[in-house]
Amino acid sequence: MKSGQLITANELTQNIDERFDVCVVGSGAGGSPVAKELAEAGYSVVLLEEGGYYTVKDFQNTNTVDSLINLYRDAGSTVLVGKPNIVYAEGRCVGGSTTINGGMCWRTPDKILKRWKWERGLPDLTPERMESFFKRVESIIGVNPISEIARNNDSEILKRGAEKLGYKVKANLRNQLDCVGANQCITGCPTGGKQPPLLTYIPAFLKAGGTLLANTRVKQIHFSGGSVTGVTAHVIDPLTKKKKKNVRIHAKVVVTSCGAIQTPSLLMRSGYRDKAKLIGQNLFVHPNTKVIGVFEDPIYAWKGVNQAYQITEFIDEGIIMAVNFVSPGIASLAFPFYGHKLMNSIKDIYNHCVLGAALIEDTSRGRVRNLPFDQVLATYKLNQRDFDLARRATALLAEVYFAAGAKKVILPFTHLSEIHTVDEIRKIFSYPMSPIDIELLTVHIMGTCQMGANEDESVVDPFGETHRARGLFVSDASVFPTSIGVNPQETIMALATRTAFYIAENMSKYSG
Amino acid sequence: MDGKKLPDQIKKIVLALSPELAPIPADIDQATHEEFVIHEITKLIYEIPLFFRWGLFASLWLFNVLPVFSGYGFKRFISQPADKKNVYIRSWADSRHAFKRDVFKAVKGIIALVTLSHSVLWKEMGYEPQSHLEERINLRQKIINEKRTINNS
Repeated sequence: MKSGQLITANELTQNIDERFDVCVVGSGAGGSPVAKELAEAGYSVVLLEEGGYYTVKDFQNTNTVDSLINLYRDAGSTVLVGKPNIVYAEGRCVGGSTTINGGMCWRTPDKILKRWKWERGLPDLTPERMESFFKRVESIIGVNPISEIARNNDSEILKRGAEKLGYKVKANLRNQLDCVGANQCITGCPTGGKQPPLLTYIPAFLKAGGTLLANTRVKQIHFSGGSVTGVTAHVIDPLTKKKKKNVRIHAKVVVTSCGAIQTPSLLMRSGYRDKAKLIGQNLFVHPNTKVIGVFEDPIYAWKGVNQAYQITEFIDEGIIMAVNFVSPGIASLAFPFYGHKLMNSIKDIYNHCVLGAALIEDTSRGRVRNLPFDQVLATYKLNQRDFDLARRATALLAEVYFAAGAKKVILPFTHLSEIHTVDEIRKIFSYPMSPIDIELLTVHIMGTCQMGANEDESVVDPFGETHRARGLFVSDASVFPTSIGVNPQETIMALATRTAFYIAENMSKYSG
Repeated sequence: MDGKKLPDQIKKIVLALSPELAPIPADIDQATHEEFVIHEITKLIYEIPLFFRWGLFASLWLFNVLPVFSGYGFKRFISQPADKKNVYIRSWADSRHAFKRDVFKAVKGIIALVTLSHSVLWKEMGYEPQSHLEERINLRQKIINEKRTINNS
């Protein structure tokens, strides 16, 4: 393979057996910064991505089903099994979940870094020490405020309602350059306004001589004498889903960045065992409740950027609220109705409604396990504290909508689907409910290879290296020891950058 | 789709459920819409992991035969008249058994997602993504050109 090349399944004509300094598995928020920084440092780097490669032009199609199939793992049907079941979204394409996210950029809150420092023995993770990494990431992906042109009615409604109640509202920073509010973020930005790794880290990686293999699923990591030696992968035909070619990469450093479900799955099926038996445990997910506000006046929420603002009044309680509109097919999943009621509701209120979500900083935990036939099972048990918090968050968001003038609010509860006045919010607390009665979704999956100084309490060390396999690193949200309560992509990228610098400074340790 | 097809029985169940869960206006060609629904649902279902796909097929089969065993008539779901279908569907939607509610939600979700992704329905609901997209692409290009002009001067 030539350096500086991006190869997809359609272009590959033979098996691959090659040697690199570094092999990075996964091209999302965790993998692409590591790959780019190490390629620019002069190392030979191969980046293996399970999903396909799509461009801005490809995102200009408005076929929702094709977008889900091309860009999401299992076409978006991934589920955390539990009470309740929780649908989660995970990108599977070059750029990973950053290609399909809303682009919100938050630095890790100081209180979280302090907690990680004290509770997990991570003294380097202070705001001061992390400053240079945050700045570097922010300049590469273009973290900027949203322009007036891109703003949208639904976000303004959220802001109006919040301000009427005296709640703090934050104007979001996003990784964007001249975003004009096409509002198709979740099916890939069709204008090039959003600046995910697909348009930033990946081109820089290729320019620095890195090699990217798309449609390539890593089957196993190999070890010898306590050190990593490389990986075996299959190139998968995107249409038939059958193996097309074999890939064998020899490398003294392997970085897994497959996300908090697939990374522990890969480590476990490769036979890696940690002393603390924590791989796959400690799964937390920032569950979101979905709340729909219906208004008399037309809103056309699909015109204009999503999540221009977030309500941060309750961030210390573990609640953030925002609005995020989607195409009719995906919006229908948020409506509890069916039949004529569903179709008439959507027809009548699609342009008169606001789709909002309240994110919860969870204390509940889940687990990732491997099943036969290369399947993965993720389970998650919503505890009473988080259910009560989700209920409160739903009530708060409903209150904001009514303050902004909503005539009706549609709720995510099995036995309470609508309320029409702010006084009816009381029903959210007075109706008997249990965790199984709420509908939740999530787009943030974290924690399953937690970081720490002590091998008895963590899977990886403070720089992301596994405690028991030299040269094997984890660089994605699975290293988070705890929930962070805010959108995680910038934290993931900053930690990835830090990991890359550590690897570069210590490369002689691995290549000797 | 490389030869992928829904099993015949599953296809019949989906076509019987679709107008109950996500009915379309009468002025839209039903045959074309049915073809679209089956085509898109087949694409989606073959992306789901094997275990879940088998589970979904088994659940749909169960849904179809259970009326006979649960007091909802002597015919399978696909052979029932519309009013009886409605009552039976509601028994799953509002069931006190979480399994039935979850199966209902999953099937309803897939059918509604696909139905409302059919562009023939969008005009009536006032959704025009193509023209909005073209307008925004042109707007961004205009902004970039203006910046370029300012930088050059």
